[in-house]
Amino acid sequence: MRGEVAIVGVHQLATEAEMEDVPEERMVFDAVKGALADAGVDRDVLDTVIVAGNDVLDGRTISNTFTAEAEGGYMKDETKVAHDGLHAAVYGVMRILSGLHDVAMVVAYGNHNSISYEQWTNFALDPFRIRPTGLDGIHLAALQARRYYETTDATPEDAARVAASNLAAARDNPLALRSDDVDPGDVAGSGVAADPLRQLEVAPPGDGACAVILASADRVDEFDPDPAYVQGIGHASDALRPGDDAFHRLRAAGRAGGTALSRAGVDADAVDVAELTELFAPHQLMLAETLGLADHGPDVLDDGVAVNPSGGALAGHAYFATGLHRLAEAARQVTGRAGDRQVDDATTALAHGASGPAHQANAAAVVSSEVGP
Amino acid sequence: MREDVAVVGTGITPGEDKRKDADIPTLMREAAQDALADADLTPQDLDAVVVGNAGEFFAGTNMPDLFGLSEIHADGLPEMRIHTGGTAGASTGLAGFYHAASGLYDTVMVVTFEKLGDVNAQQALSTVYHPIFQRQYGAGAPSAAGAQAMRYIHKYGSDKTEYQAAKIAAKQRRCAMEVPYAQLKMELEPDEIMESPPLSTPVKFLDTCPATDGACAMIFQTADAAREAAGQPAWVTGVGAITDGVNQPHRDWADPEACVKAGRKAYEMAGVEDPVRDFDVLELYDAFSFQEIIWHEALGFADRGEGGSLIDEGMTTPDGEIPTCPSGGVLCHNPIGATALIRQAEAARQVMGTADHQIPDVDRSLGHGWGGVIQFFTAMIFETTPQGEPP
Repeated sequence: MRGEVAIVGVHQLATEAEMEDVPEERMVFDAVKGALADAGVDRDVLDTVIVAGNDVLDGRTISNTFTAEAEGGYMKDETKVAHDGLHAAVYGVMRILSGLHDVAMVVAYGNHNSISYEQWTNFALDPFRIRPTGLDGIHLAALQARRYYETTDATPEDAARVAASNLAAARDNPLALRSDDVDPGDVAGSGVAADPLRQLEVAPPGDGACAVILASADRVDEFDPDPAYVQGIGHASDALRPGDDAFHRLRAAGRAGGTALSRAGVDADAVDVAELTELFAPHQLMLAETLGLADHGPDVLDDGVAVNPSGGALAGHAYFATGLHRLAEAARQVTGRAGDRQVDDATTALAHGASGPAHQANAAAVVSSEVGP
Repeated sequence: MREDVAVVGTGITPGEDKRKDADIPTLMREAAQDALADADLTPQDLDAVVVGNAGEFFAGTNMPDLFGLSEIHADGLPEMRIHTGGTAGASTGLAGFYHAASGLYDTVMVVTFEKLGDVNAQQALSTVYHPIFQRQYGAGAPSAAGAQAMRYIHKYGSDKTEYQAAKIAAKQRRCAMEVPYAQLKMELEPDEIMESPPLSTPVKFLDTCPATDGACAMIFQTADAAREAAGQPAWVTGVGAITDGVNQPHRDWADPEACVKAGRKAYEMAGVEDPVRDFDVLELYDAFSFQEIIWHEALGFADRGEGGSLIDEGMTTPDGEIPTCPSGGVLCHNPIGATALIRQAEAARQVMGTADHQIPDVDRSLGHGWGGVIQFFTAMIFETTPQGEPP
């Protein structure tokens, strides 16, 4: 699939704690119109539209009934993936690879209205055996982090460094929800979220949206931006097994990334920039290991691949938009459009998205500025 | 198309209004096991899985695909969930098709389900309406269907339409007598349907689909693998899906432009020029009997305003020229998130020769779906040979 599909337009709304008086339709519309403007085209050029949204967040069932027109989907082959936006992008790539579509609009959004991340994730748990315990995504992540610290050399200090680093990086990202100038000591002292996670180690939820236009490589000249070629995609989901010895290994994330890298024909060490969905600081270290970016997660803090120069999810997540934020960042990095957060000589980037409690459902994409290997 | 794709196995669980013995993962497992057995495959053969259902509010669980992952042998596999309301089953089927047609996955299973026995389905469905402008008086799906039927009757001014709809309902219900998995099996005359209580005028109780606990799974394979299948594969030769907008003031439910376009896309791909001549059997998503009249017109089987003549002339019964819903259709079995996949699965079974109510000599079939606020339309065409090959 190398060299066959490219990202030819991107637009991301700045993530905000609360977009007051902005309905979901408006967020989706602004993201899609922005991506079309970035690409320099009209929606006429679209063959298919894929949205990623969640009914529970929206408080309305069949959410794409009311976002379809805002997505640019009117009288188009439009559908909805009920997972993270990067899953929707993976599906969009498959539609183009099939030969039946040339240009796909992928849009993802999250508007948390009156539900908390804890409630949203608790509602996803087995209603008979797990949900009644009150566990939620934050507590499950805490269990993963605890297991990780107990079975590897990684320490809470390493995770605190991740949080400090990502929050600092976010100062160069005008789209981030938050940024901060903190040191690891401040992170450690920020209070307990769910032991061993500290408050500043938990990604804050916000309202956000992002749109990415994918095109068949033979059409890239019709679009303004330099193309970011999608060289490999992968996705995988794990069942929830909180008692598992390997609960911290994030196996499905590793498979998603491994498949993407393998299809791209590159090893992890070819990755210049990794934009990962680290909803919790220790998870950036776990992801680095499972994706093969480092044998020892904390090593990525010191050298090698640049991880989350955007600030990542710790700078603010917007539910299902988060993975598409990562893909948009990856595309910007390899085409030199990442502004103040640009990593020098970035030609190959890995984007990762996750949804579901405990990073169960994962998707990944390898993008590069070059057509071939 | 990069890869020819065929359906090689299907599974449909027996429908009940409330499966007290099964939770959602169990329903998913039953359908998945049946489909694997039908395809003569094992879980180790699966390369990817796609899951669909019509809503978190029906399931009572957020991201319910993750809940049933182990049960469908998808733990660790490529997996994603599709949700487009009533046509979720078909959209999921299309996603499975695209996984295979992309060339990235050779054996793809799609699993769809709904467990409506635990919820008030219409209450959940009513949250589709705008919370400020509509929800107070949008009474679930029947009110939309009633409005659609009234629009049709007004537009084409026929006083025969209601009785034609009753005849369609009677046809559907009689067909289901041959289908062991169908939830409702009722041998009824059109007059009995006409006398049933009104639900949303002119739609009556017996014109209407049930709410079913059930699941359906279907397995796609790319050509090399499909050609090794023991039975007759159902090759996918045409697909189409189009979305209409809820905010379009000119939108006409009696003349659904999106349905017309979705059908045409699939027909163009499959080389279908004369639907009446070219199809041997249809599985249309008739959630309400009146809809069969409208879908037949939109899909090119009758002229505008003439759709009701098909039932009058006996064209759509199992021994007619274009048998429609020999499975009994949605009127007799409706696990919402699975229902549109069941249309595809039944259409595939007709080509495979494995349908409970098999129509003789089927070379080409159509599975149709709709969802959302009568706005998402899907079509999938199956044939005994791949695209471009003679039957």
